Amino acid sequence: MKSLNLLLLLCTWAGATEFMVITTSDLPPLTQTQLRLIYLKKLTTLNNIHLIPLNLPATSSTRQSFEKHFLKMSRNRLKAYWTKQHYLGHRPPLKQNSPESIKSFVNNVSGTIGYIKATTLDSSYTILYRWSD
Amino acid sequence: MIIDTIKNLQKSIHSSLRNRLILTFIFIGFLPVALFVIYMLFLSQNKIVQKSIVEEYEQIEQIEQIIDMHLYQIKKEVIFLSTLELMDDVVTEDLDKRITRLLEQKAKDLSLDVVLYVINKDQQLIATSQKDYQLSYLPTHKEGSTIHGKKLYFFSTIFASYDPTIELGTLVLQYNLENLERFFNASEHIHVFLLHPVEALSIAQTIPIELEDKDHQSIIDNEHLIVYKKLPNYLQGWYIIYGVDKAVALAFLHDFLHFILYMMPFGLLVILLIAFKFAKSIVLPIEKLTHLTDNITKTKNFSHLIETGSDDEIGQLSHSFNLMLQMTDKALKKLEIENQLRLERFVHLIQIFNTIMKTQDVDECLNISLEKMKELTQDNALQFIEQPLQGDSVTLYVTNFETGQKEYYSSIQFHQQDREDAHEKKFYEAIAQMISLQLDRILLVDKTMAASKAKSSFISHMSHELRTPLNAIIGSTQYILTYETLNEQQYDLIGNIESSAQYLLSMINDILDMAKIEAGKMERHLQAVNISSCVHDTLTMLEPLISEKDIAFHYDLKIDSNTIVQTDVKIYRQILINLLSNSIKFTDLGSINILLYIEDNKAIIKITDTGIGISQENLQQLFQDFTQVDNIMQKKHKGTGLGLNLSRKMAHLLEGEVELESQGEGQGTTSFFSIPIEHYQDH
Repeated sequence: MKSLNLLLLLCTWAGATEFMVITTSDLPPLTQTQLRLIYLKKLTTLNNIHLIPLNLPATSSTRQSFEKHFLKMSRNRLKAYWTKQHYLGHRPPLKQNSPESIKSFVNNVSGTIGYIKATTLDSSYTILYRWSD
Repeated sequence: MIIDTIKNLQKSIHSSLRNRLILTFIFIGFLPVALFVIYMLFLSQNKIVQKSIVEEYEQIEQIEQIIDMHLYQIKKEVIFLSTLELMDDVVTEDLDKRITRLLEQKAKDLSLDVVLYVINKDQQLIATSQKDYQLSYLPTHKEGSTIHGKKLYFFSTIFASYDPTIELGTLVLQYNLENLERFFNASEHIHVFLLHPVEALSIAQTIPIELEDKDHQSIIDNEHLIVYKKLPNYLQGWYIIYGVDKAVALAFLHDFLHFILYMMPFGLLVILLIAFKFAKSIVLPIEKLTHLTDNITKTKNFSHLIETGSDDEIGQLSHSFNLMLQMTDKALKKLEIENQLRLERFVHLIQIFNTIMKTQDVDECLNISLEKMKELTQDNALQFIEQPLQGDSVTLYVTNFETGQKEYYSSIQFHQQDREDAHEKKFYEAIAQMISLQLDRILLVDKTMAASKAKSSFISHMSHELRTPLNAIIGSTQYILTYETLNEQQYDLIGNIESSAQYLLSMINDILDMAKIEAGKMERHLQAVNISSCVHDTLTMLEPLISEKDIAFHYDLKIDSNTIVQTDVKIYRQILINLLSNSIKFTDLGSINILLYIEDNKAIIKITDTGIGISQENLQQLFQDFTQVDNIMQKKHKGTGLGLNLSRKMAHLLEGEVELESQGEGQGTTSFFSIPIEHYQDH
């Protein structure tokens, strides 16, 4: 584990910014499609676990990167999507202001899925994906 | 003193209509004011207090409602905040301080003394609006409110927004009850505060108060009107108290009463002025009336009238009074005229009576009476009828003095038919009686005169007849005494017969003189007389009588010896002889002084002797017929007792007077004989 962390550190430090999607340990591995459906609130439970996707603030570069990488939708498209969903009674994912609170959330509530910069990760989380710009 | 004053006041009220009217006006004017003031003082105050209390209840309810609303809003706010998605941050223990910011912002927005805080399921403080806040209360229910001391706690459970079945923690709002003070609207005189009697807590308390365990209650003490009420809902155990200073609550009343009290003197003044004016205007005509009646009773002048200025009752009274006055005046004048008439008639009547009284004989009396009665009654047919008449007649009766009975004389007959008046009839009867009396008098006088004349004539005749045989006796005895030779015894006897006859003759002469005078048959024959020589002659004539006695005799003449007086010398000398012989007769020792003088146009002879004198009582009887003082004296001093009386009657014939004076028995006597000297002629 220690070597992995070092590796990650190295990776981050070596080149472009690296991000990762983290989740609680009770969730099974998720496909990218599954992740996308979860963040669009089309998929809310998995294995009887209530899924709680977490967003960073809209201005966050991490969020922009995540949306680009996994949701494959532009900010305008997403706005339009959630406007439409709002009328159907669905709400966008919870928003946390800091990666720390995302990590805290993930720590405390099962079924939580969040994304953070790989550099902010200081303890062991179940990492679903890693990506970098 | 005070009682006297009150009594005087009562008297003046009872005696004066004006005062009573003024009093009534004042009473009527002040009664409503007094009642009003009493109402204001006692009833109105009570009502105002009651009304204030009702208003205070309303105020309390309003404040209560506002507080309720306010707290409800707070509660809703708490519930709302607890449902915010943001509250999911409880999960992260508010790592981003988003809840803290929200709570701080909220507390600031409320601008109340509140603390908002969030605790998680483990009762750990997650976020608070106040830094360093020490957790003092942990909620026991999911939602609601609790009160602890002066702090009210609203709480609401926070559920996870992603899964409403998951409780994340609790949002709590700690509300300080001091915040409520802003709704109290208290002021200097209005006290609003909250009180927890059990825990002895209070908020904004300004006045001390003891509460009873009741839902609501009002307290009225000397300074405040207080109302309190138990608060429901959030503020269990608390009471709201609303108090108003009594002075403020009753300020309006007191102001009004002050106003009334200040206005009272003016009101009184106005009422007094009106009362005086009205009383005066009402009483004035009555006073005029009284003044007039006083005037009338003083002056007895009924011709004054009252001015009747108005048509009211007093005006009518004045009018009636005027009518009465006019009638009285008329009646009085009529009475006066009648009185005058009656007086005239009365005077006339008296004149008639006088005229009748003066009549001397029956025919004259009847004629004059008839004439005067005709004059009086204007009844020319009036006449005397000798036959007794029935009906309109008045009967005359005269007295028969021999029997003492009234006898019918004649009747006066009337021909006018207006004699129905009983008084008129009585009047005529009175006249008739008067005539009867006069007739009586005339008849009586006639009869008396006739009797007197008969007596005098009888006496004079008898005296005359007695003198003839007496003269024969005297002549015969004197002849025997002179021409016959008689022995001593015979001489004495004859001498006795002669002197007795002489005495009898002189007595008969006296009686004759008396009778002559009474019958008016003695007449005086006036002639010029030298009075001093006449007196002198008389004294000379009486000297033999004086010389028989041992008496000193003095004669003083204080008049001119040539004084001539018109008088009857024979009568004058007789009177003088009578008086002098009396003096000589009654004087045995001493002296007789004779003084002739003139005083007050009278020639007076004063004879003073030192004789037996006369007592005062006897002096009175002395001049009566046939009177001599004392029977003892009569034996000693022979006389008819006619002397003095005769002397006086003769003096009267000469228009003179004889008077006697004496200091008493044994003191001597002084006699005065005076005749007037109006016929005095000085040659």
